[in-house]
Amino acid sequence: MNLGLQVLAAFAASYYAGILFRSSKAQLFLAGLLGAGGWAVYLFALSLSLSVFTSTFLASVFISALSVILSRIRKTPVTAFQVIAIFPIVPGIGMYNISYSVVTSDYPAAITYFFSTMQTAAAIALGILIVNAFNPAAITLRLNRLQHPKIDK
Amino acid sequence: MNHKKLFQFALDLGELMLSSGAETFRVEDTMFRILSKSNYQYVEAFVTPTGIFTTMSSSTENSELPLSYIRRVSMRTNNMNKIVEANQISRLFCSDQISLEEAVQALETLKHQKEYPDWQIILATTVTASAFTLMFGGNLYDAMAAVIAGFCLALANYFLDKTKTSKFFQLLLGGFIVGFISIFLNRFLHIGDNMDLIIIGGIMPLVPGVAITTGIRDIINGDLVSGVSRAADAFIIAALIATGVGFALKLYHLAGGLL
Repeated sequence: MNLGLQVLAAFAASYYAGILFRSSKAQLFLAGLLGAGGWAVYLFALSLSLSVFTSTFLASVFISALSVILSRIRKTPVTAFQVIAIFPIVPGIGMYNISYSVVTSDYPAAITYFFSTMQTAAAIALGILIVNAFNPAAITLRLNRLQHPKIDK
Repeated sequence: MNHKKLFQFALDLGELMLSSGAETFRVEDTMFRILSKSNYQYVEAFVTPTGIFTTMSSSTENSELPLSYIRRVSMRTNNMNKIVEANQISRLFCSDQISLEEAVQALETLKHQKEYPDWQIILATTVTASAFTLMFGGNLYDAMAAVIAGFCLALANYFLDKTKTSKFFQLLLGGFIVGFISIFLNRFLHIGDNMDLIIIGGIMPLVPGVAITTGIRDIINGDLVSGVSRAADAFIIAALIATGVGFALKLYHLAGGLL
């Protein structure tokens, strides 16, 4: 199947998944574009014969970084973009493969799929983590949390 | 400023954000900012996915007694719009652009705000299912089958929501319906070439995307209790969907079909 169609489908997928997450119309279009961009990064990385882990990681970094930038421009929570845009790279395939292998009593395959699914989830988490480490808002928050709040009155 | 009223407002806002799927640190931060508007010096908010604990106290002489509240939160939905709007209300309130009364009024309006109509949710579920099938590399016939599977799932969800069925049973049944319809369409009516892609597309509307991402963000921010419980939530949901699909596959297998 050609890649253009897949990226277009990724846009539709994140856009309509955004409706399921009850996102507002103003966020939906940008979040959809971001989701399509993330999937394009993922496919591009795969076509450079990088591993699934690395490709997922790159897509996760791309989506998280742009979500942080967009949320600062539009003064909205980062989640509003990030959750929707990251949805396409969440390992749905892996989940299905695990249950399929269990049903067909192919336990070695089930274990392989289990670990590859965990790996994909870890790649997404790593991407979010690295972007979060450089997010100025998150840094302020982290420093604030180190001491117990006391307000001068 | 009326402290009890301010406290009530902070709790209501926090509860709304938490039950809409906001991250723990965002709820804590928002409540802290609102409560800082009071005359109390010590303000602390502790939030977990199932409850909010807040307290305010003062160290000065002949001050008021400390105030403390616990709010149990049982409803957990995904509503990005409410998080954004609640954030906006707290932002305006904390920068003194609106008074407490106006903020309470705005929160009340937000609580009863109209969401997407039912037909749009059904349409969104259907399109999501087919779009994911295409995205993972399925062809147009696969997408057509996924449209039907997604539509059946959306209808089932609609009726189960109306009858207030248990969320867990709904996921189990959702997985089973997607699996059953996909097998029926693909193996008996011969629509589409990749049965696995049809099923994967069909179950995507059920996948706990918000819980996964929010759980990761919670753990990164050091909210271990919230992060781990959200991850457990996501894991249980995933297991239920997989069990539902697995049950349909097993039935087909037992009936003599080749998987």
